[in-house]
Amino acid sequence: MRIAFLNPSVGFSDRRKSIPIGLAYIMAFLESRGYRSTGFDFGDSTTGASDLVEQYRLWDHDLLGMSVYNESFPIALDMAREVKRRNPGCFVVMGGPQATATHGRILRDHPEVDAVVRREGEHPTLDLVRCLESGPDGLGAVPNLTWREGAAVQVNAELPALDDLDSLPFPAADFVTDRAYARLHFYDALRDELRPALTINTSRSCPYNCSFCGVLTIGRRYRSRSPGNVVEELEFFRERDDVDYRHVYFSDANFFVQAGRALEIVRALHAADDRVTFSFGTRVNQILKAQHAIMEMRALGLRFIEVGVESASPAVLRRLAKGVGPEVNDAAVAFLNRIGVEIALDFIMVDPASTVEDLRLNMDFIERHFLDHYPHEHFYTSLALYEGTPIREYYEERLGRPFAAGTLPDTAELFEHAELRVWWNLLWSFGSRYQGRIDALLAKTETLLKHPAAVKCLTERQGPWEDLSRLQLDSVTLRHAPPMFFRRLVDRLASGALPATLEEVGLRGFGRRGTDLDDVIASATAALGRLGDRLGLPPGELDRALQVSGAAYQ
Amino acid sequence: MAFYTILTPYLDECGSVYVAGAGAGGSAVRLNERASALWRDLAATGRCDAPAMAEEDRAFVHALVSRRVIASAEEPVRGGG
Repeated sequence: MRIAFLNPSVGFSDRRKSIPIGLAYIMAFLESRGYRSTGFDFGDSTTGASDLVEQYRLWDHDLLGMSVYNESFPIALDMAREVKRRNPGCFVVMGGPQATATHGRILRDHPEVDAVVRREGEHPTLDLVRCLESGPDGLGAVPNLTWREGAAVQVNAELPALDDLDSLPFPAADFVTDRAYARLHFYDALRDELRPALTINTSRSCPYNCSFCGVLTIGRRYRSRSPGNVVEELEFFRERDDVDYRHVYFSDANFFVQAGRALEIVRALHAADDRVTFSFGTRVNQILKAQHAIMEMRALGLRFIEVGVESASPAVLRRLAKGVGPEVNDAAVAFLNRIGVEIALDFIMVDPASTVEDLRLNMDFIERHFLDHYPHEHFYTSLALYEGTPIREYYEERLGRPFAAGTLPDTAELFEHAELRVWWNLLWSFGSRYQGRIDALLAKTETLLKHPAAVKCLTERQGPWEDLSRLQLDSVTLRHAPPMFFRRLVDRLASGALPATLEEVGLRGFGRRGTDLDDVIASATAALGRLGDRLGLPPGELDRALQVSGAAYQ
Repeated sequence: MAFYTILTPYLDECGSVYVAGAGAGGSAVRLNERASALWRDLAATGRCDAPAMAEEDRAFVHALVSRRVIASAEEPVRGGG
């Protein structure tokens, strides 16, 4: 039986591409039961569905399984139609959060899809493969399956979510892709070192109820792997890839639900190899509840935590059902800053009902904690209303109409306040005119200023140290420029003004000389060119250094 | 009263003073609110009244001198009529 699994495109390129781990788990599980399959990952492809189906002969299989998210759903349907057009006998099955949330409608409205596997896929997919091998008559016995029987849609009973996650094989699966995977790294700023990194998932689901979270669609029961099993996975992939992985990105939806469990895992990791550093994502209340565990983890190699702050507005936090107030966000961030654990922020700058006051609170929070190292991309975020999430239903009720099935609504079209539309337009105007240049310049200036030749000049006050000092301050201003501009914009909106252009908001008063932002950019650009020569850096040396420290910008 | 000259470029932005080259490895340093206020005063007047200062402020000025961010200076000669 020719089996393939496909990760369709979300329509844009992800900067840090890694394998689709859900499909990898299913493929490894099938392999362990004697069924080989081929994986195709076009998650960040911009090639058309028809071309991909033809070029990679996706139609030439007996079973094609697709992992589907809200963003990739329209393209997944295009690919399913192309596959069916070329090979009507190929059984097309969808899975993943989007398919789970809308399984009945998919089967009703899309004849190009034969079935949906709801929730977790390993055991149901194995049963499906075995069923199809012996003919299509047994579909009624495949657990978690929604399928079509004549004109009727059948929804089979579900298996309980798998408790023994250690019983699953490690997610070792290869994927054919049209855009190569960059090897995953972690830039350890503490040691100024780029480390080969591996993604490991140690648990499934999350017991919380955040209204916007797609994990809810898969089920909320939290289950965990054993510490020994996690360490075995690291050793397994080190041997398989012949790579000395020395950082682990724990990719769990919420790694720190149970502090004791999390500690046991990182203790085991540290005992196996004390060079390994790690990072994970969790919620603010859990960080505060188990500060002692975080402190111990820091000593065991914790480098950063992805913290689900989301907003500094009490009203927005309530809508998102975070179950915490902004004071908890502040306390958790202050704690992590105090003990020196880096923060990767999860932040949603606006949702459709956001007000200028919400924006002001967000700006206050950013300035309070992140002014000098704020990842500017967070300014450009907005709430995604995924199908199957309570927040989508909330907004459907609030607007008095359903959103088009299978689509992800454009937040910009849903803002309830005129000020927010102005915010959004000017945000993106600023983004397209300045953000790319600022990001590129920051990466170069911060790399140059860390170069040993530059550090020697600055510490010993020799050579072009004054020029370097001015570049250092221009670099600070470049990091400040977006929050400064957006603060001005919020202040203008709060005063009742509705500026139409960036100039009306104010592009003057930046940097040492209080000049135009363009002047700061021009000054830093010129200094970069000049200083490379004056420091005697060989051509290309800055680019090589940038390849190392550039990982910090991912 | 002691007089000082500022030796390094600095930036006063977003409510804080940033001093180039004053940190570890020649990095820029962001001064806290109290230190920023002291710096602004020093930058405006070129002097500080060390005996009247709180101990931590005196220590801060001393640190700036030892890191060669500021240097002792002669009392400026005032122009006469």
